[in-house]
Amino acid sequence: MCDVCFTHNESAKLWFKDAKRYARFMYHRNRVDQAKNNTTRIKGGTAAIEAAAGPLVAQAIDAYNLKDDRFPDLMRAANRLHTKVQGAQTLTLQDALDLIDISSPICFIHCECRKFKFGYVERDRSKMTCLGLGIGMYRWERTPARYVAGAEWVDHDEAREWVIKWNKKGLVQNLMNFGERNGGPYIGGLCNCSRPDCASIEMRLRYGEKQLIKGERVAIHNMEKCTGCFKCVKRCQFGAIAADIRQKRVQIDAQMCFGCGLCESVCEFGAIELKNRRDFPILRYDW
Amino acid sequence: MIGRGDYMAIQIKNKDIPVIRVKVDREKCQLPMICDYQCYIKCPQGVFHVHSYPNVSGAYTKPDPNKPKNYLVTGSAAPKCTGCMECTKNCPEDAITIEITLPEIKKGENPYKHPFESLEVALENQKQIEKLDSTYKGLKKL
Repeated sequence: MCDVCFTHNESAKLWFKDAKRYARFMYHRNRVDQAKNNTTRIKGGTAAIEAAAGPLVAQAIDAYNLKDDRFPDLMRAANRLHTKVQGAQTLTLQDALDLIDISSPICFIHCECRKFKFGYVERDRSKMTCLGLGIGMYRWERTPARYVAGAEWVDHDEAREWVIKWNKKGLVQNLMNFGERNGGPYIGGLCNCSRPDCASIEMRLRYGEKQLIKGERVAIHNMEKCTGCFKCVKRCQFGAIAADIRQKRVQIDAQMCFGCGLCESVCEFGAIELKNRRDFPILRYDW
Repeated sequence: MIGRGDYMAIQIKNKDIPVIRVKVDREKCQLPMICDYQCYIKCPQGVFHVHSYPNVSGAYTKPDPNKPKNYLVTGSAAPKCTGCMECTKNCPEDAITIEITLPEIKKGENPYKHPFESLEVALENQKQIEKLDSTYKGLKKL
């Protein structure tokens, strides 16, 4: 993309596209400066945050399963900590392509979620579904004992075709943000997720943990144009689309929508439109 | 699924989330058969329901297009509303009013900011949002 497209694009105000605003913090390891500038730092550093967040999440899930009254309070406390350790946000296909453009080096890696949930390791290059971004990936290559399948280094054109391939098959693109540890986000990966595999989608939908936050867009449905082919119902990974079989149409719940745009790309009649989440006075609070 | 349950039970208690009321003026909306239920059709969220009016008081009568007062439009699924204002634009009688009370803004915080966003980007977005808000009629701020 040329500079003009990049700056005057409608979506140029997305947070991750202004890299200069957080790049300063990304590899910032100087502890003295960190203590001065970052007032929200917790004692004991990042290890303490991770150590505190894990048991809180586990407690909250226990409370949910036992139908305990303390569940909302525990989950709210867990959410406050967990965004500092790890987080994800749903992207549209165009935003995912733009994210690839501004990041380097990039490599294919295997999906950790599918590994620890089903024991399925993507060893083959053509089956890999995660993209590692940034120089943190050199570490991934160096420790083959933990990162089993290693890193497959690629160029931008190949990565772009690869994202489009998985999007056509129906996987959602999620940006991985590995913590706000040093005062800013660290964008470390681009995942291709689906509902049963992905840990963060499951945790968000079942327990309401904000490990995954909603995207910048929202799908708005036009009932008059809908013909009831129900192609979009299969594609939605978040359960936001309900099929009204008797009246031959579909209803999209905007409060459950994560704004991935999978349903819009498959609709032949233009019944689904992606709009900016901040234009709606209710949805802009609901991340 | 915790999607909307989370939204309602946890967050309203904290006053983090706006509260919506949908009112349909019963005197202006006496002839819903004429406009073909524009609110009911155009609403992408399915907020509006159409009841047959005598059914509300107990006994069911068959729907009759010649007796328009037999019908009643209500916004009974108001928590689903997203505030897109499609219904107020399309209503020929101006019978629908939507009241939104936005949550309290604490000092030094931006309620529109999401957890990954830098403050500078959030402030730029806030200016645009305030422009938008001035166009809505029923918007209140605490």
